[in-house]
Formats: sequence, C-alpha cells, structure tokens
Amino acid sequence: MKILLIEDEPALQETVSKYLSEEGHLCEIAYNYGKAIEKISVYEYDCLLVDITLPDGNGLEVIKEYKKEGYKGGVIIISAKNSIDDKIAGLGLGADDYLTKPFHLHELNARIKSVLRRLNFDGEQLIRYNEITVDPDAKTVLVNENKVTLTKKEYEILLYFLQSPKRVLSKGAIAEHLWGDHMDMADSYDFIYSQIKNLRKKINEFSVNEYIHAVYGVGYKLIKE
Amino acid sequence: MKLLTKTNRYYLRYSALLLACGVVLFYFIINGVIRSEVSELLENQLEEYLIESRQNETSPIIQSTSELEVSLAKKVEKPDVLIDTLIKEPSEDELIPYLQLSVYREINGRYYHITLRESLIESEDILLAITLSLVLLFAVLLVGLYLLNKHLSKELWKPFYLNLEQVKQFNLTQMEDMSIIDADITEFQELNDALIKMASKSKKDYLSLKQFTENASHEIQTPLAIIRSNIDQLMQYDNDETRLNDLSKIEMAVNRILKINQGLLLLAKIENRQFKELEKLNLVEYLQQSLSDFEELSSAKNLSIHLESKNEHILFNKSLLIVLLNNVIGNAIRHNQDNGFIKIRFMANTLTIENSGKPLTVDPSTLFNRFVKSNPSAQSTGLGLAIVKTIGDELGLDIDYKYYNSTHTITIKFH
Repeated sequence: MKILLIEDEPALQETVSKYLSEEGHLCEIAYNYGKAIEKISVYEYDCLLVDITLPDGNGLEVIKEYKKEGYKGGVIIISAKNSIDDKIAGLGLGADDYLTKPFHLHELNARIKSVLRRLNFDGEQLIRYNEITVDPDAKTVLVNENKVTLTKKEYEILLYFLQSPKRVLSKGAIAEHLWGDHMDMADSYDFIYSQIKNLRKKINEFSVNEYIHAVYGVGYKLIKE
Repeated sequence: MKLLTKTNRYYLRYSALLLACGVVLFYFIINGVIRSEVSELLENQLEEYLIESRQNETSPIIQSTSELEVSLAKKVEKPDVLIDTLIKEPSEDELIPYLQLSVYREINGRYYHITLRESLIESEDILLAITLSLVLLFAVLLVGLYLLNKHLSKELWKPFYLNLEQVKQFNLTQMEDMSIIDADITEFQELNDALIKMASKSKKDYLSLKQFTENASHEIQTPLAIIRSNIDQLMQYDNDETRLNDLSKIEMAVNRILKINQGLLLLAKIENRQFKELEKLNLVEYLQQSLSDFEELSSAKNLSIHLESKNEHILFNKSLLIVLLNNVIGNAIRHNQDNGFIKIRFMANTLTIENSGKPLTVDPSTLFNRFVKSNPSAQSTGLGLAIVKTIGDELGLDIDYKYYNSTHTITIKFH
C-alpha cells in the first residue's frame, strides 16, 4: 500500500518508514504542513498517517484539506497528545483512527490493516494465514474450516498475530494491544502466557501445525512450522 | 483567647487597681478634709464662746450637753485635746461619733474646763455617698467596656475575619484568587497586601512547576517511543537468547517508564481541570463494561463477582468515570487472591467495592498517595489509586478505605 507519513520528528520518520517498507508498503514522508499539502495534491495514497503537531501548521488542517479534495484514502492520526478534544475533532473531520505516541509499530500496523480493510482496499474481507481464517466482521475463527470458539482476549491476540505474521511480538506489545488505555492492567504478562497457551490448544484441536511460537524471553511469533 | 478580650482584661484589672487605690486614697483625703473642717469649726466655736463669755458680766453657765460642757476647774496648765469620741444620744439608740475639743480657759478670773463637740455623722454620710457613687461609676465603666468590646469585635475586626476566612480556604491548586477586602486599619491593610502578594507568587510558581512537569512528560514520550521501536526491530532479527532476554528486560523497563509518564500526565490534566464536562451517566452500564473488559483477568484468578446496584444516574465526566472504575476494579482484581471474591454495590449514590485479599503492607492512610504500592515488587505503577483520589478531589467525591475481616473495602460517595 502507498502510505504518506506526515511527521516532523526525523528519528520517528526513519523508524516508521523502515518498518512499513519491511511490511511491504511504499512509504513517503512529508516533514511539515506545506510539504504535506503539496504531496496530497499531486499523488494518491491509500493511507495517511498524520501527526497533529507540525512545525508550520496543524495536522487537522491537512485532514480537512484532504477530505475537502474528496480523496478516499484512510486517515490515521498519530499524536503525542492524548487529548480527547483532538480525538473528537480529528474523528469528526473524518479520520479513521487515532493513535497516541508512543505506539508499538505492530500496533500501527494493525491499525493500518484495520482501516484499509474497512475501506475495502484489500478486496477480500477475510484474513487468512495458512489453515487459519478469520472473518473480522463476524468475529469468527476457522481452523481448517472448523469453527473455533475463542474468548474475547484470545481472539484479539490471534488477530494481532495475523496482522503481523512472522514478526516477533513482545509480551509488552501484546499487553498494550489488549489493554490499550487501561494502563495499569497492561502488565499482566502471566495472563498473556495463559491466554496463548489456551489459544494454541484450541488451534491444535483442528491442526497438527504449531503456529504460535515462543521467542525465549521476549514474546511470541506467528509462523507455520 | 481573643485579642480584644485579653486587652480588655488588662484594662479592667488596671482600672480596678487604680480605682481601688483611688477610692481608698479618696476616702482618706476626704475624711482628712472633713476632720480638718470640723476641728476648725470647733476652734471657731470655742473662740466665739470665749469672747461672748468674757464680754458678759455674769459667769458662764455650768452645763453639760452633747455639744457643750462647761465646768469649774483648778488652775492647770493642760494642753488642748482634740479627739474622737462616741456619745450616746438620749434620743438615739446608737452611739454617735463626735469630734471633741477639750480645753482649760480662764474666764473673768476663774478657770473653767470647756469641752466642745461636733457630730461627724453627717460627714460620714456624705463620705459614704461619695464612695458608693465611685463604686457605681466603676460598675458602669465595666459594663461600658464590655459593650464596647463586643461592638469593636464585630465592626473593627470584620475585615480581618473576612480575610482570615479567605486565607483559610485558600487552595493553591484552585484557579480562583482570594478576594481580599480592603481595611482602613493600617496593620490590616499591610497584612492584606502581604497576603495577596504571597498567594499570587505561590500560585505562579506552582503553575509554572506544573507546566514544566507536563512539558517534561511530553518530551519524554518521543525518545521513549524511539527506544521502543528500535528495540522492537532488534528483537526481530536477533537469535541469541541472552541478548533477546536483555532486550526484553529493556523493553519492559521502557514500558514501565511510559506507563508512569502517562499516569503522571493524566494526573496533571485532571488537576488542570481538563475534564470539565459533566453528563448524566448510568453508572451501572459503565460498571458492567469495566467488568467485562477485565473478565478474563478475573477468571484467571477464579474470582467470583457480585454486582448489586440500582439504575441510578450520576452527574459526572465520562472519561474520568471510565478511568475511575477501571482503576478501582483493576485494583480489586490485582490485589485479590485465587478463588477470592469481588462484591460491588451501588445505591443511594454510594459505590462500594469489596474484595478479598491479603492485608496491606503500607499505612492505609498513605494508600492513595502516588507511587505507594502494597506489593513493592509488583509491576504496577502505584498511580492507580492516586488517580482515583485526584478524580475524587476534583469532582467532589468522598473516598474511603477500610480493611476488615480480610476484606478490603473502598467506598466512593457521589453527589
């Protein structure tokens, strides 16, 4: 997918664009309001990642302009300010999601995938990885066409893995994905361990393959082996 | 004791002492004057009598009344004697005080013993009247001072007390300034000016410190984000177990800093009144949502959850309510034991959350302070309950904690 990153912090530009390229996206960078307006009027993008605090303007203005021109790409706001007002304003202007800095790159990836899926860019509604099929709208999981019943958190963990296959997801990243703003609960690493244990068991009811592998000391990885 | 009352006491004691001495002194002086007058009177009477008697051809009459006694005497050289004496008047029943002048004089060739007396009773009556009047004056002075004290207390000190009330209620974290009233008494006005200056400086310093804390917190976010993403990248490609383990430890430490930072920022925002909007919210809905969010965590410990509540609405800020409930319920789950329970009750605007669990290892009165954790090794930031308390302070909730019968109870009263 073609993604425009509108962000003025150089280190963050580098990290995010590198990550997105590895995920197979084409990532371009606009480092201020002026450049952003320039780029969106010339090129088409599948998704915009907009930082609200830009040196010469406000990211919200970029979104306004983008929507005014009638572009259909997804818009995700990334901001250091966890401000409810900004969130409401941004979503009100037509942004699809709002992510607070600092975020896990995998979280960004998951959000981009969700937004693009919602906007039908992927064509297909289902997420597939080998024997596992997930219908995110119906929230159903099939392993080799057999329906598997998962708890809410088990489902979210599986979805997260499916959105970043073959990537090592640290326990911290998983915890933050599950608990998000519930800050203090996001340290229940033991809980994650037990959830993943159950998840594996349920998958292995209908498949001989191991999908979720532990990466010692760090977290887990989804890969068929 | 009040200042006026104290000064009043001093005045009264001084006045009493002065008046007492005065009355006594006055008594003696007046008495002395009276006596001197009366003795002068006696002298004059004697002179008049002698002159009259010496002019008369006939001899003086020998008599004896209470006022005049004349009797024959031998020729003696005896000095005049002036003394006090008591005479029993035939018409009166009591002894009456007299001043008595007793002399020996020659009249027309013969010697006589002459005694003149003057009654002192009238003078004594006068003296008594004067003394009583003084005492009455003193009583009037007392009453007057008391009433004056009351009046002064109310009027003169009114501006002082009003301003004192303002100072008592002054809260550094509130946005409103004290409304200090001007006084036309120099000392009070000076005090006012000093107070206003001090309050304004404190507030400025406080706000500036808060702003600094907020800015610092914000600045920390970005470098932490960079650390985190880079560690994430390193973890993808490294296969060495020891290095991965170390990376994981770094990541968890960074996460911890981030969470503490977020917590502090949230606290700063709440104190800064950034969550001002109130709406009518059905508390039960939010309770149920919170419980459902934490469902897996509570099942992991096999906790039994009881929710008993009425569908009551409260006026509150939506975001803060969610944060409040999540923190309290999350806490109840975290500090619980396996197979324990959580009982939640909401009625009559009071939310009660009870959970089983080990007793606290910290002083309960510090439980709501920042960074206080009952289990010091736990991964939590120690800010959860501090956030709850700050929300309570800003939105006027009464929050209480008890530990009884192996049960922790937190009670929150809404308005």
